Formats: sequence, C-alpha cells, structure tokens
Amino acid sequence: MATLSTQFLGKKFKNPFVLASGFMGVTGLSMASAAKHGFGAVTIKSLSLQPRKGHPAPVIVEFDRGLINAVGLSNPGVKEGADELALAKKEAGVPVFASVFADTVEHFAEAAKAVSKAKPDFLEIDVSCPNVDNEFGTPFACDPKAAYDVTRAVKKAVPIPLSVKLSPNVPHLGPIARQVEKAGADAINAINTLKGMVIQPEARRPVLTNKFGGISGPALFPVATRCIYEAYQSAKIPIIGTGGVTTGRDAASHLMAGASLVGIGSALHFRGLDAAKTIGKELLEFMELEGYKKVQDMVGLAHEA
Amino acid sequence: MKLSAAFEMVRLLEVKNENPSTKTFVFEHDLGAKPGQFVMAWIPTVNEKPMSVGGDEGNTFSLTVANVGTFSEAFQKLKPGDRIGVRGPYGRAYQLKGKRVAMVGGGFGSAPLRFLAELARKKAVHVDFIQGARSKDRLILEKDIQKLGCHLHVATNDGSKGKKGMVTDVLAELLKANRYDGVYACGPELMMQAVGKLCEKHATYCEISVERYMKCGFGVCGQCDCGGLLTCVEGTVVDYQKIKDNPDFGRIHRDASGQKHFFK
Ligand SMILES: Cc1cc2nc3c(=O)[nH]c(=O)nc-3n(C[C@H](O)[C@H](O)[C@H](O)COP(=O)(O)OP(=O)(O)OC[C@H]3O[C@@H](n4cnc5c(N)ncnc54)[C@H](O)[C@@H]3O)c2cc1C
Ligand SMILES: Cc1cc2nc3c(=O)[nH]c(=O)nc-3n(C[C@H](O)[C@H](O)[C@H](O)COP(=O)(O)O)c2cc1C
Ligand code: FES
Repeated sequence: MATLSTQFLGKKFKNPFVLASGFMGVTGLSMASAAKHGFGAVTIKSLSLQPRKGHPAPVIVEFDRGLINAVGLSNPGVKEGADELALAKKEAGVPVFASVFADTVEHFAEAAKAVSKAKPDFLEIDVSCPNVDNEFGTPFACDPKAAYDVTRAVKKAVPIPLSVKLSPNVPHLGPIARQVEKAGADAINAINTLKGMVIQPEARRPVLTNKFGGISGPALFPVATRCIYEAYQSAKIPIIGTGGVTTGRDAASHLMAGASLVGIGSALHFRGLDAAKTIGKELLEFMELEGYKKVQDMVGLAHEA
Repeated sequence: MKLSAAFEMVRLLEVKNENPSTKTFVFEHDLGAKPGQFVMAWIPTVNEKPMSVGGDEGNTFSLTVANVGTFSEAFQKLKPGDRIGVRGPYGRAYQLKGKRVAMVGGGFGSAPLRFLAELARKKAVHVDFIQGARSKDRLILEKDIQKLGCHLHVATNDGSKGKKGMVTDVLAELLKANRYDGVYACGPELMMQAVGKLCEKHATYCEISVERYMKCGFGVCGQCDCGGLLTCVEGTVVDYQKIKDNPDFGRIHRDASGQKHFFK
C-alpha cells in the first residue's frame, strides 16, 4: 500500500502538499481551514515589519492558462501576523510555515525575530516577489551575493529551520541555490511567480493596475519544474517544489525533478477548495499504478536518466 | 475556449436613478448570474470592486451602486455607451425554499433581494419584502418590488415612511403571524445577525450575505476570510445556522492589509 505521509527536516507530514504563501493565508483560521481541506502543511501570507495595503485593484485575475497577480505584498504586519500564526499553530493540526519579507538584510532579520515568537515550525523568507521592484529594487533572489547575505543574517537571528523562496526570474537558478545553501538555509522553496503581463485588448491596457504581475498556475508549471531540477543539481538541502501543480501527475513531476514537498496555490482556483485532497488522491493512484510506496521514492528520479 | 484576457468588456445601456446617491446600471452581456452572486467590476484606470448582481435578463444584467467613495463615485459618472470590465459571476446564490418567504433588505442589499424576489414570483412564491432605510428618500426599487407582486413593508429610522423603527421590528411581527419556508437577508452585518436570531427563535430557515474585503473573488487570496470561511466562494450567501457561531461574524472584519477592525 502506497502512502502520502512523509518526513521533512525531521517533522512528520500527513502528505507532501504545502499551502503556498499568499493563498488563504491571511488569517490563522483560514490556514486551519486549508488544513481541513487536505493540506499537509500551511504557509502564512508573507509578513513585513509594517502593515501594507498592497497595490490598487485589479490585483489578481485569471487568464486561460493561469493567474496573474500584483497583490503587492499586502499584510497586516508582523505584530498582528504573529497572532494569526499562533492561532494557526493552535488550530491547524499540521506544520506551519511563517513567511517574511523586507527591504534590507537587517529588516529581514528583525521581521524573522518578530514572527519567531509565534513558534512556527518553519520560517520562510520571501526574497523573490516580482511585483515590488519599484519599491524594493531587484529581488534578493536574483543576485547570488544578496541571497547569501540575507539568508546568513536570518539564519543567525532565529533558530527556526529556514527555507528560502527562490525566483524563476533568473537565467540560472543553480548558483543562487548554492549560495543559499552555503549561507545556512535548511531548505529551498522553488519557485515564486514568473514576471509577466496580461493585456485586455478591448481596453487597450494591462489588466493589472500595476501593469506587471506574477504568473502562477499551469502557465508556470514547466518553468517551475526546470527550476526545481536546477536547484537539485546544485544543492543538497531539501526542496519544496512550488509552481503550477494542478494534478497528481504534476506533483509527481516536481518530486522527480527533486522536490521533497510540493507547494500548491493556484490549484485552489483550478481544482477548487479541496485541491490538495483531489491532487493527493490522484498522486496516490499514480503511485499505486507505478509501484511507488513512499513519496521519498520518487524524489529526484528524473536525474537518473 | 475561454477568452485569453481576464475581463468581459461590457457596454452600459441604461442608467436609472434610485435615490439621490444610488443608481442602477444596466449592461449588455449574458452574465448567467443567480440571485446572491456578485461580479468584480473594473473601471479601467480607476479601480475594481465587488458588486452584487441586481438582475439578469439573459442579454442584460444590472448593478445597483451607492455612492460612498472614490470607486462608486466614478461609477455614478458612467454614461450609456461606456464600457467597463466584469469578471464572474462569483459566490454562492440564495437557495429559494417553499411557497412563502420573507426578504429583509437594508441599503443596497435590497437590489440582490429584488432579483431573488423576481425568481420567487416566477414560481408563484408569496413574498413579504421588508425594506429599511434611514429615511423615505433613501429607499430604493420600491416600485419594482411592488410590480413583482411582493408585499412591501417599509421601516424608516425617522418614521418618514412606513413603520418608524428597524426592519427587525417589522420582521418580528410578521414571524409571529406567519410561518415562512425561508427568510433571506442582505444588508449591514449587525442587522442580518439580528434577523438570523429572530428566525432562530421561530425555527425558521434563514440565509444572509456575509461580505468581507475582497481581492480575487474566486477563493485564492484569502483576503475575504471570516473566521475560517472564505466568503467569496463559501458565501457570500450562507445559512445563518452555519455562521452564527463563527468567531468573526458580527464582530471582526479586515481591511486591504488584513488588519482587524471591529463592527460598531
Ligand atoms: C460581495 C459584495 C457585494 C457588494 N455589492 C455592492 C452593491 O451591489 N452595490 C454597492 O454599491 N456596493 C456593493 N459592495 C460594496 C463595494 O464593493 C465597495 O465597497 C463600495 O463601492 C465602496 O467603494 P469606494 O471605492 O467607492 O469607497 P471606499 O471609500 O474605497 O470604501 C468604502 C468602504 O467599502 C469597503 N470596501 C472597499 N473596497 C472593498 C473591496 N474590494 N471589497 C469589499 N469591501 C470593500 C470598505 O469597508 C471601505 O471602508 C459590495 C461589496 C461586496 C464585498
Ligand atoms: C495572489 C498570490 C499571492 C502570492 N503571495 C505570495 C507571498 O506573499 N509570498 C510568497 O512567498 N509567495 C507568494 N505568491 C507565490 C506563491 O506562493 C507561489 O509560489 C506561486 O503562486 C506558484 O505556485 P502555484 O502555481 O501553485 O500558484 C503569491 C501568489 C499569488 C498568485
Ligand atoms: S477574495 Fe480572494 S479568497 Fe475571497
């Protein structure tokens, strides 16, 4: 009998599916609801030191092959956010990821300290949002040195296992994955959204007020697989493979590219609120059919060819 | 195949004045909406906001918009021939029950309920429609509601029309005298909470519309959470029994950042 239950950095997971940051993760009870709907772990919407309203609407729309968003990292700030994290810890019954972002290395460390009070199981740093470069400049995840510095600073500041969320908006992910590992990261999350644009032809303008946005969902899927593959080639720390997964076979692909866990976000739209359950059922069917007993048995298989 | 762009650009056909600050806008488009559902309406270069569907005639649909801020003010300035973007319809619709129902509308909440009343009357359901407002000149859609053959009951805070008092005063009396198969409410949350409590006392099925700050409208961003309920997909219309013990209901809502605010 195949099973979806797995291990990651010494913690038990009932399945490999992690609710991606920015999805249903505004409140503690919403994260608990995601867990009830089948997620093996949940991530809070990324938090910053100060509250942010985000960009003016429209900020998220669907197009025929995915979603494009420029939410602009809206969040209630680390203080209220830490309360929501603590509530998620209490109510979700699955591992909880905190997520923070900031403008400078020092502020990253400060934000990490602030959320560590809520005792999340894991901490993720979002160094890869493509929608705030006007404000923040080039994302840390697009420069190996900057990625090293921010990882190092956060790792020193808090004792919580650290995942670094990388960006697909680079020609080669390998060098960045290596630097992040060298700086002490415990895991890599690949990937955040891919910078894109959707134009409404009748209105003669981009649909997002921010004009540019991050592509997620099916359109992102092969890009994510490539990034996971590159990260696995370059670093030994475990990978959370995120991007475009909407079916059990998609999940298997990310695992085979090298992911140990699978991040899921946009599938909540394409498959509904029970996406994790549905995809889990499909993955289990795939495993039975192909003769895999454990999720771990599939990790990195695509590299053996 | 679905359009590759996100919105349907729809043409405004007609504008009707409802009261000094509220207008109904009729757009040309086969939306396929049911009463209780909403759309995200985009005025390019201005903003995008959720709006309840006030009617759907197949080739046209309508929105009733109250002027309260920047976006709704820009809406009031739209002229026939202008185009806006819509996506949707989104959300859960009202589930019409039985042969005799009551509806309780406050503010622009009467617009989606008029749409529900239209459906009810097509099925020859008896409708007691209670509408509340601060004063007589704030009421909307009175004639349309009466034209459908509903029994209209009005409550105004200042007594300028109908009963002086609250919609719940009228509902309390009606619930004593009648047995309803369902009561449907849309309006300020504390009003709907009071409606729900009254219905519970009379063991009457009740649905209300719980609305929170929205960004996506289709269940991904999590901004519209109400104590673990994603209002844009699991609502906005909910069975009062399913929401009454929700820790945020009637207490807490959140703004665009996700910061908490308390209902007054
Ligand atoms: C499901 C739903 C259906 C709605 N239906 C109607 C309707 O039929 N007619 C109508 O006139 N209005 C409706 N609204 C309210 C409408 O979406 C706007 O909130 C309103 O037009 C005010 O926007 P503004 O920019 O003019 O004012 P602002 O000054 O920007 O906002 C005034 C208040 O509106 C609320 N608000 C603003 N933006 C949003 C948002 N994106 N989501 C939810 N609340 C927000 C906030 O509480 C804010 O304090 C509905 C809201 C929801 C959630
Ligand atoms: C609306 C939206 C908001 C997001 N917000 C965040 C965020 O705050 N922090 C973050 O690290 N990633 C954020 N992301 C990226 C997702 O976590 C994820 O990496 C991406 O959507 C790819 O996965 P998917 O295709 O399964 O959605 C967001 C994505 C979307 C669509
Ligand atoms: S508005 Fe985005 S989940 Fe409801």
